[in-house]
Amino acid sequence: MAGVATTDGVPSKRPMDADAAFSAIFERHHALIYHYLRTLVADDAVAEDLTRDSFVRAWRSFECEEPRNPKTWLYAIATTAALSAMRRRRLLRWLPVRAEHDARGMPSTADLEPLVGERAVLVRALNRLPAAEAACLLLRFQHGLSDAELAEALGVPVPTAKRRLCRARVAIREAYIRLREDAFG
Amino acid sequence: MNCERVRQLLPRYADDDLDEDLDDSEVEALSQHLQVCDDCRERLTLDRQLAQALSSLPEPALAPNAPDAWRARLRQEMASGTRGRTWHRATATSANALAAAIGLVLIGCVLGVVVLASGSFLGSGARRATLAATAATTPPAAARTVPADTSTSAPPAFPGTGRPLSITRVQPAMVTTGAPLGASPEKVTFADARHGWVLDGDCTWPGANGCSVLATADGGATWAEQFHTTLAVPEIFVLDDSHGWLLVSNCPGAAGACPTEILRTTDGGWPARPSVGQPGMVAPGGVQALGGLSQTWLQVGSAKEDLSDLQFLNPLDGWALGRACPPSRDDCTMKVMQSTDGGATWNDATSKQFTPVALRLVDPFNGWAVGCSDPGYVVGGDCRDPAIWGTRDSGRTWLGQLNLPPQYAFAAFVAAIDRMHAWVLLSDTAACDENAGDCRGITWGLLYHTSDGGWTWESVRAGTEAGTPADAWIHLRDARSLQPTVLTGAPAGLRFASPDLGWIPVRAGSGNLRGGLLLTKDGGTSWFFVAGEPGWSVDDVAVGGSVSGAVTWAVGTRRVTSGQVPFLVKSTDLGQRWQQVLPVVTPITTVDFLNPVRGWGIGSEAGAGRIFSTTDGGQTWTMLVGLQNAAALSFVDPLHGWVAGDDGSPGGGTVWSPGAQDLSFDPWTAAALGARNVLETDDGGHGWRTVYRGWGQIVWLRFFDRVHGLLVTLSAPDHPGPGLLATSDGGATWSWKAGISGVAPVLAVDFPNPRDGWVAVRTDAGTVELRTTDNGGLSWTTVGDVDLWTFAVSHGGAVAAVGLSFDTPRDGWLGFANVLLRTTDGGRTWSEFDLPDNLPRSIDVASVRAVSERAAWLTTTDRRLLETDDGGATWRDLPTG
Repeated sequence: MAGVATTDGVPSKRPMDADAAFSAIFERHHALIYHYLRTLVADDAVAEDLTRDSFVRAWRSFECEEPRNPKTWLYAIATTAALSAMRRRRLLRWLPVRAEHDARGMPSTADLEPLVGERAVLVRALNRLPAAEAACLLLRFQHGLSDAELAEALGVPVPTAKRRLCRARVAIREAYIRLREDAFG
Repeated sequence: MNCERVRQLLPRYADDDLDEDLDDSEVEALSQHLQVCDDCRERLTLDRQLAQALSSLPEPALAPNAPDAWRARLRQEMASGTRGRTWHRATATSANALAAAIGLVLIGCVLGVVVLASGSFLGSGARRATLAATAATTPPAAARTVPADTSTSAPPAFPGTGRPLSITRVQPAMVTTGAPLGASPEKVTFADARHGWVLDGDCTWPGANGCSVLATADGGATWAEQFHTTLAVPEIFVLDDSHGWLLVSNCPGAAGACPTEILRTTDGGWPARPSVGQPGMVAPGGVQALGGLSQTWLQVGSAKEDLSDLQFLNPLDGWALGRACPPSRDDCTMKVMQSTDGGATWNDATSKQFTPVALRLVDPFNGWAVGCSDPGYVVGGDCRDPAIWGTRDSGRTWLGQLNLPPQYAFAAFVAAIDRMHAWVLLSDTAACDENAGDCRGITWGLLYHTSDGGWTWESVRAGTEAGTPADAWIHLRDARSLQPTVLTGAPAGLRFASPDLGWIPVRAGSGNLRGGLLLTKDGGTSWFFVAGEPGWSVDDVAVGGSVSGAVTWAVGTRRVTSGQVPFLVKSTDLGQRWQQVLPVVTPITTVDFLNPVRGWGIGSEAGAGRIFSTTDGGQTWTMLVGLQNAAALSFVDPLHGWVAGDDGSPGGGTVWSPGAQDLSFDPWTAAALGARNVLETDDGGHGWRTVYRGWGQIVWLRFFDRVHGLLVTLSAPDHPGPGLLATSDGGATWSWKAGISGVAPVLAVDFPNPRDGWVAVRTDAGTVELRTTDNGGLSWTTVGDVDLWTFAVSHGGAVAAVGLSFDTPRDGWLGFANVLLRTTDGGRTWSEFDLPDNLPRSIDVASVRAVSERAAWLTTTDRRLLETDDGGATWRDLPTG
């Protein structure tokens, strides 16, 4: 199967060792993508499924067009997969987001799990953000994407990506402050 | 500069990246503010610390076997029907075939897998194992259907355009991973009162379930799958009961613009007009594929743009918006796309005057658009100069009709019912991420209306709320309380059926924010929330039938314990009451009947145990919404009943009432709890109250009167194995009575009275024993030596579940596999009861419930519910919708 039929002058659409090329991409990046998705959705099984689905989608896309930057491209696919799954499926982290809900006597997760320090507060603050904002923060800070890469991974123009990142940082800061006050007085 | 503004800018300040937003004097003002404001300075420090902390979050451990599973899945994907392979086989045939096949590869990559037209239906487990064939103008009867092994043959010419026919094998994995049909409706549209279509599955984004087009021809009573694809089908537009179009986009997960394929039907997508009761259709409420999928959704054309807002004004004239993104994706532009040949070809009809944001035509000549006149406007970006534009000559010329205030990241919707009446809704999307459907709500909206074709537009101002722009349309009243309320979700559309009657579907977004459906009866001046129960989020709305007798259809999601359930609901009274149409809910696992007509059942909806009631012996069932994850139930009169289930409230929230339950707990915690609580109703099952919090895994429960009951739990403290607990105070306290079976698993239990009981247990030897007690479980004796397993196997079945029911200490039924046994002497002797000939031989009894010598029901593991009223001589198959 090796080699593309270019003898009659038809240019190669893509090399036929795509399987191997994609396998290499998979080996290099799967742990990273899982890491990203796991932090984003906060569930082992869901993150595993999403990682698998992301690479399947990536492969189907790869068949047609090889990405310029495989890492960013995978982040884009994983982000879309996670956000669409979280939007539509049973993954939404429906945590009460405002104090008013607590005031109505509804139990919040604060009743369920004791806080174990600043990092736990941070993780909970992260979980309270809209998923798209959490994704923004993780891609920038946990995975070190540049503005341009972030924009590509989110599928938006660079200025929009920067605005979204800024909004996400404001949101997590304020969520963090609120949670810290709740937790530590 | 105030604190609020400073705090919004701090992250940019921390990164020294303020140039785009502020001029030098403002940067200076910000610096000065920081010097005097401790709080803001602390926040600046915190921004930096949080960035640091985020970058050092621990890496979660990866399960050792996970990568292997992923590799296996990828190998399967790579091995199955790749397009490269098709090409190679084709290259071996001939030069012509090669050229055609290259076209095939290219189209395959653009179109991916579009499943159409399969002549054979491969059975319920393989309903999606169909081959793909698309054709342009071939009539249905001659539509090409391709047997499974012909993907290697040279593709025939693409009729009309000379392009090759695209033939692609469906990925085998898609065959088995599909969600149940109707489980996830995303879009709905109706041509009239009877003919409607739903996009079901992963339609907005491509996903593992693929997307199905479901259709009804009887006002939603029955549905059939017309079309399935593994690609995304973001939109459907139907002109009438015959003419419809689908947009199919092929972007496997990537962002940016997708090329779009346009599929069309000219006969409503039905291979033959269906009628209720015809073979292949199902009883009311059911969903089932036709014998073969539709052969009439045919590809007619394609566009390299990512089309949206599709609309056709007659079978030929169509309009859409087209998003085009250069490879850098940094500057997507939006175009007005026009077709005059039924969708086969699309021309760029964009005016030089503006970039369109929203578009609505009312006839081939007249229409409106919201557009931005900024040079270099980028979709989703800021717009300094938005306006409403109108055309009266099919878009050849556009006239600016109303200048709008400058917008930052806004969404727009246009609705029009004729050439005089139109509406425009603008809302900010600053807090929204459209790509993710993630929106915390809008902060304001603007609604404009014209009734003279656009000569004058007026702002619809029903009132203003504090803190909103002066023109804001945001004054809403709750339909029930009539109290002012604020729109906290985000509008997902705008639809009018008459100059007075209109709807706005509202997405709730994430968080406990309000979504639902807004209704106006006065042309937009006042709006009421209908379908605004907490936890609802509405994505799309459709109206079937005449305005006076309108049936309102809505798709959206409803929040439940385990997450979200997508739904299709309909209302015949403008939203006062809603009936769930999809997903179909089924009473399957357990039934309890007081008498031959009045009963309750536990069914499933999207995997959650739901309670249903019937007053006609199981002919029709009504879902009671107050409880989820029910496992066992017992009623002693029409009002009083008990359920073993999960009230999902680990820390509180013991009171359940319809509609309000979904917000009061955290589903992540609730999901793993199982049936551990006993809940009580005194109103026939509408409202439930937790009376007892148990330890977990209550598998059976029965009450004999208002105070005395028994339950069986699989896990109780200090007692290994299943145990019997009793209450004599209506379920508030339970006391341990006896272990049942040592540590052997219990398969079925029944007690006709508090003393006499039977259990079926699985023994160490792997057989199943029937044991009985006559002293309330204190001691058990094995009844005969009924080896169900051997018995079942000798009858050619396998035991998946055991059903057991005694209506008196002497008369009982025992069902398993395809065996039904009956005793009339307390279990000493059993006679095998023939299941009637009209039932399939493969029937697998899951539970039996008898209320008298004559009346009994049984459920099967394949979701049948059967009823007898003559002691089992004849059985009737009941609808389970």
